[in-house]
Amino acid sequence: MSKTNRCLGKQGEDLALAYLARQGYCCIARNFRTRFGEIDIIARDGGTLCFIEVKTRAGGSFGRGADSVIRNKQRHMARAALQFLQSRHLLDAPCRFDVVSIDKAQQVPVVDLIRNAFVLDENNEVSDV
Amino acid sequence: MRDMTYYERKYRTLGRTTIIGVDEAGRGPLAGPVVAAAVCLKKRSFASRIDDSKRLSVSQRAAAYHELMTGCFYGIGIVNEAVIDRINILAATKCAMEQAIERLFARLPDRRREAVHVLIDGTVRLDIGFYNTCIVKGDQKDRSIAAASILAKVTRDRIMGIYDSVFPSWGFMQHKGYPTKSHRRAIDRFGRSRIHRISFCGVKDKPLSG
Repeated sequence: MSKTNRCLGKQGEDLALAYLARQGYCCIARNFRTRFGEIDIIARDGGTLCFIEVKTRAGGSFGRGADSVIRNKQRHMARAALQFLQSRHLLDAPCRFDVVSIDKAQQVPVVDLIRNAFVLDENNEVSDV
Repeated sequence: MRDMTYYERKYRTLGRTTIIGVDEAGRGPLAGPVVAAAVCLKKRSFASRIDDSKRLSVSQRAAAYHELMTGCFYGIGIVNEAVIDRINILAATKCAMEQAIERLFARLPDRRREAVHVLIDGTVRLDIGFYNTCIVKGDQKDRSIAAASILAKVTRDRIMGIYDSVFPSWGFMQHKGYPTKSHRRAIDRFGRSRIHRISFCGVKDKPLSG
């Protein structure tokens, strides 16, 4: 990944964090890494644990950020989330997957929060809501 | 009086090998963040006194803090005043504690990640998956919680020290944001700063300045 891309991602995450704080989310962990995949932000929204992916786009030409959280990425996120829940004995806890998309094409970045962006079925396969 | 390892020994006999102490600092103040620390001690004994942060002097705390930096695994959780205003102080404290435990857990070696028992100061019920126990006045009763109270207190004091240089009018270096007479007088005179908790009584109706 190029340096500008990583920098963009980091900025996006900071922006997302500030946005989520205003929405009443409370951040618990950032950049949770496993060998299966990475989760950008783990936060608590009320009693629900949220695994949040942040997608930042510099320009509008490739579509909105959210569109790029494709099936494969969702699967990686789900695996990492399961790993997290398992190691913290939280498999029974209520949780969901959210996506924050940030569009930096405008002068003021546009932040969009999609709650419950996708779900896991009983075989731990991902599907859209 | 039971000694400072009573609870630790109690849960060790149940097979819990990793004992984590959690405490918070800064629930009462009118300004600044709430800071929580989670601690897993590496050693049995420490040269400096490990006790409730409120019972130690500033220099004793500094010495203990210095020794704890290498003598334990730790995680610090910080929740700022904007979030406190939004989700209330209890939820913010819980969140800071959870954040602290999470950061500590990420630093623990694999063999210490099994059979975890978390000892929490006060009556805060956390939604964590580990076995946990709340101990009222835990910072005086258990050494892991005492160590956590020292880390949380010293960290918060440092943050307030930095804020003091940014917002010098309120005297955060002296009272660390706690509602002392001099702090209330400063609020009456200067209004509230950007780091005051708007949701707290005595700050709510004051104009913003600085």
